[in-house]
Amino acid sequence: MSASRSAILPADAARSRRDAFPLIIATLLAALLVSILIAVGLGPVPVSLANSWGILLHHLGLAHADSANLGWSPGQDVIVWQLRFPRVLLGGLVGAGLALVGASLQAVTLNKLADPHLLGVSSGATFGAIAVIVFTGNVVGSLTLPLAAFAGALASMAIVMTVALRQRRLNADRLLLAGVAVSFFVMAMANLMLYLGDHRSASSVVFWMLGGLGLARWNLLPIPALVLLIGFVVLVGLGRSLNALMAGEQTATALGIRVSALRLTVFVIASLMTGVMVAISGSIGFVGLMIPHIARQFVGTDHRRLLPASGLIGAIFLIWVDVAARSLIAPEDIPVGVGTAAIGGGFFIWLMRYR
Amino acid sequence: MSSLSLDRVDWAPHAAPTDLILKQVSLAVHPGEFVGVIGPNGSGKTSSLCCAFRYHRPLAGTVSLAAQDIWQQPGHWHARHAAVVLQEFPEDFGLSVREVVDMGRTPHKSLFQGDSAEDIAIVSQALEQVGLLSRQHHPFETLSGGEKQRALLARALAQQPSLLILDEPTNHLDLRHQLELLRLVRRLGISTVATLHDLNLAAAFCDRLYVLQRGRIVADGSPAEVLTADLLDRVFGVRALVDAHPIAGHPRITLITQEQDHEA
Ligand SMILES: Nc1ncnc2c1ncn2[C@@H]1O[C@H](COP(=O)(O)OP(=O)(O)O)[C@@H](O)[C@H]1O
Ligand SMILES: [Mg+2]
Repeated sequence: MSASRSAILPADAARSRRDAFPLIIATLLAALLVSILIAVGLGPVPVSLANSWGILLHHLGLAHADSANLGWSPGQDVIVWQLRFPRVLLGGLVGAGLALVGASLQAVTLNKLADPHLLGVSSGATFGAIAVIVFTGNVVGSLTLPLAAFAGALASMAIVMTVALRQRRLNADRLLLAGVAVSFFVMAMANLMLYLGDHRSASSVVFWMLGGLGLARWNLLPIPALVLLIGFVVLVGLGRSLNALMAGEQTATALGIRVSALRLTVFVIASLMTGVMVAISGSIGFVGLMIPHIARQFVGTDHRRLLPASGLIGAIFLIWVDVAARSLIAPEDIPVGVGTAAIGGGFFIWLMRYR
Repeated sequence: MSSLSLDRVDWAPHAAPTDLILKQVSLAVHPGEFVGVIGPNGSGKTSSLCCAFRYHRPLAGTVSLAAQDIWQQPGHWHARHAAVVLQEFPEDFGLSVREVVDMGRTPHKSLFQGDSAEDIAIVSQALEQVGLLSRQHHPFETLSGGEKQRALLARALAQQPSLLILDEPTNHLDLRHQLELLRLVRRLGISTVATLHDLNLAAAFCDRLYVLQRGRIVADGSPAEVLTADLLDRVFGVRALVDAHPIAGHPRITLITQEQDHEA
């Protein structure tokens, strides 16, 4: 046995996975914290890092400053506390959520190209959003659009499930095909609606579809935070079962996994998470597709490690892309989805060319 | 008490039982036995095995492990008793050999339960038994066919089963690896049911054989009782000489490869 002890390089990389995991997670957590702290200081309106942190500490009740003698203006206070901080946090939540969903869907569809927007949910959300933008307007206040988008997402999810389920079995290929088919169909209906509607609304629709974190306000954060937390706990709890799914359908059954039930559970959780994320921030692409691949390079395929790592990397990634989106041609906001797609596509090309 | 018993099992892929693929299939594996299932392509060998680990639900009849009806037990119960090695390889998501074998611990774990020192030791031991411990951190995809098959066996062993279910375990293996794998399984002494294509291997390694033809068991018994020239002609449609293996004494099958007309 010791004859082939001279292990080759990939073996060494794999050997370290289990042992290095705590260190990797600690590093990522630290990087996330640093990213948040730096990102709140960056944007079109210059506020020094010291002042940004002062504002945070002040509002968090961690620093007792004499309110008359603060080093920043009330305007800066509003920008950092009311706009930028929630926006950075939302970026983190959405980035983590999309990456988590991408990694889980890649497992249940056994397809490395699966992503949160592939399975119809985002198209449904887009349909709902377009209906609001083109026809109804904000009939029930500023939350009309997110609510309609979420409703569209749920409807799409239900259709995909109905189409994909056969004899109470949910097969990976059928799920994928049903998702893609429903996605195209719903998108066609949404585009038709857009075409028939008032053409001036087209630009707001396009802007929404490209994704952005501009809606972020404190009162919008609890729902995605809660959804992310619940989704994270459940998916990581299912991590071992997702691993077993990699063995193939029959073997997974033999390992005691109820494969169809597991697929259904993960699909529903992923859809709910995607629905919420998309409703708030539009369809931000490529995060869910690309981040799991990056995470696999560091921690391997064991989903108990892959999911937390994906979530953290996704959060950090989206926070920084959003910094770029709001700074590059300030005061204009570039849709963050443009940035993620450009970076994501470029990254994949680099990966294929040089790795 | 048998390790596995199928009792008059009917099965068809669709609930309409017009064209049954398994018809009244009964078979039993007693503790410590190595039972072979043989039959032509499409005769229902894999389907029978699939009934034993809850992949196929019989339309009629019962399937029991350790004298318990598997369909009366919780969904993962069977996985603590029976482990399988199928013609199914893990998806290429970059799994290491060890990660593949780790899967074998799944049925013994609840949600959120991590790997204990015991789990790690069990997986290491399984890797050791199949001679892959030194390659545990290699990507599964980079293994040779024989090594992959052994890794899948290690996964089954990590399940600590009282029954092994093997579907054509020697497929794609060269002669030496075929023998090594079957010898290893015999040495483990775990009750085993295996489908085998190579009838000489079946004769050499199995305590008892079941013969499937078009979804029915048409013969069963010791290799010497089952493997007759008459049966080979009737079930497999081949002419063969059957004599005793000169060293081991079990039946030896020699196919007659000339076409019939020419011979006369
Ligand atoms: N899920 C299925 N749907 C339809 N036909 C099936 C299914 N599974 C098996 N069969 C059919 O059942 C027969 C027996 O298959 P199988 O058990 O795989 O045979 P063997 O393993 O002996 O070659 C074959 O004719 C096969 O086509
Ligand atoms: Mg078969």
